[in-house]
Amino acid sequence: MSLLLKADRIYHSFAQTEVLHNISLQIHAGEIVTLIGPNGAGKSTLLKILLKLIEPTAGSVTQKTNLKIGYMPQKIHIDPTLPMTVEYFLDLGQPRSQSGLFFSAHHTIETHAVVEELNIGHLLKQPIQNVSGGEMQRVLLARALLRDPELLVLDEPVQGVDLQGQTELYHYINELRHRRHLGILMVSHDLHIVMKNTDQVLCLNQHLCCSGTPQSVSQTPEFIAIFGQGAEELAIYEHHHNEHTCEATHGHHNHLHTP
Amino acid sequence: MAWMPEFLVLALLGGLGIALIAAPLGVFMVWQRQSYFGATLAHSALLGVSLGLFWNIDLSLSVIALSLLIAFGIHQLARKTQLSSDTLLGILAHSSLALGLVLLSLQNNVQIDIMSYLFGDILSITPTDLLLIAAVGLITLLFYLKHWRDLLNITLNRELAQVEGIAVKRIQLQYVLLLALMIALSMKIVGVLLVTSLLIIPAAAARRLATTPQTMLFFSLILGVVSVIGGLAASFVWDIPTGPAIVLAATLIFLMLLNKKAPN
Repeated sequence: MSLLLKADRIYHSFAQTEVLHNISLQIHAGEIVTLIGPNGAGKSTLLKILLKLIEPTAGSVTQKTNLKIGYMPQKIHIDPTLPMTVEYFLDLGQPRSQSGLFFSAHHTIETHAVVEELNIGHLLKQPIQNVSGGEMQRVLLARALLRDPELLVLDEPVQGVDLQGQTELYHYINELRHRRHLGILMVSHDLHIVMKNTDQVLCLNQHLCCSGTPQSVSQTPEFIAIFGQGAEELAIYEHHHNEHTCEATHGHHNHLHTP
Repeated sequence: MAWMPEFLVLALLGGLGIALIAAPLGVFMVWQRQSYFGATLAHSALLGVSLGLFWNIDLSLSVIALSLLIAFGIHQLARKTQLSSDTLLGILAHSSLALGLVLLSLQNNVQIDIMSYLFGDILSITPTDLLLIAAVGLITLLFYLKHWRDLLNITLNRELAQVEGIAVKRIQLQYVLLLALMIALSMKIVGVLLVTSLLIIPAAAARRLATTPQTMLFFSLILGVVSVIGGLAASFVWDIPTGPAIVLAATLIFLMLLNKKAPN
């Protein structure tokens, strides 16, 4: 498997407050890595560092040379004074060589396929401000995919999507990584469906509490302490991890996601 | 145009040039909700005038330099303080305007008309000003031909634009530089207090007619040009100050279009 992105001992602080402590991770082509953690765990900060939007206080991020990234931001606000259709929005995401000065109505077969698969064909002529939250997520995903990326970075991709839509979207993402051999880095705070197809789960709460396959992670005391999912049914499973214990520092997050 | 007095020809050409430069800068100011940022730069231009007179350097140059300094200051202060950006802009706009007025009043030996800087003095436009306007117009045109799509992407989402490989900071800086140039040049036409209206009002009115970013730019250009011609004509016919007349002409167009629903 070819390595797409590597983070090595990342530390980050805002003013005096440390938000990320000694994070290392790797993402390979064809692999889904899911970053989970409660609000304020530093997920967004870590994502920005991996995308090289901000410099970490210490540590390094190495991307494969000329790595093509498709990024789907968590939310996007577009001022109503900007007159723009969904189609125009998608076109703007295309590399310049493929489009004219202002706008090219020119659609490749691939554009057509992505639009079909994400079921956004009926939205193309709509003003971008009129589409619903769930539709916007699909439009953003389409824009990321149209760049033909090697690495897809999705920040809370199912926000505002109903349960049925969530299953479909995750199913589609999983299919994509096989078909296109994409590396996928996903941030999430809900786990029910994400977990199934993920190769590696990174459980973040300032530091990496636990990491591994969904099965192993879901049984660690650290995971249960944070997410409490079905905690009572699971046997305590000792997972090797660093000197920090999540229960001691972050046990108060128990109220999140309790069943 | 032999039938027109020469000062009016110069005024008309200068006004039209500024309207054409203002349109592309103005639409992005509206889309990015940066109108108060533009107003702050414009207010600080008076401090630029004062300092230029104080140190006896070219006024356009001192205004441009100070606008850039203020833009940089806004950026730095926004990072360092907890204040919201509109509070910061308010502080900078008015403190620099006040300082500019005080410095001007201290220079007893200079004969200056503060009113002409605050509200413009279009009759003072010289052929040199026209050359400068043409040059800045050309630079603006080249900048927009190259970066139109990049600017739109930055407007949509800065982070997404940066991940997609756009040099966000450099392009934003160039935009601010053009803004500072435009403000310095339009001071004679509408004055520091009214410059922002030339950027904002035609763009806001054009929203009612446009369905794409470039049609909004196109209508903004047209409405700006119409406002300048209308304002100049009104000023000539009724003997009213030109800068305010141009702004009112733009406002009138905006009001007429207000009842029209935006196409989307």
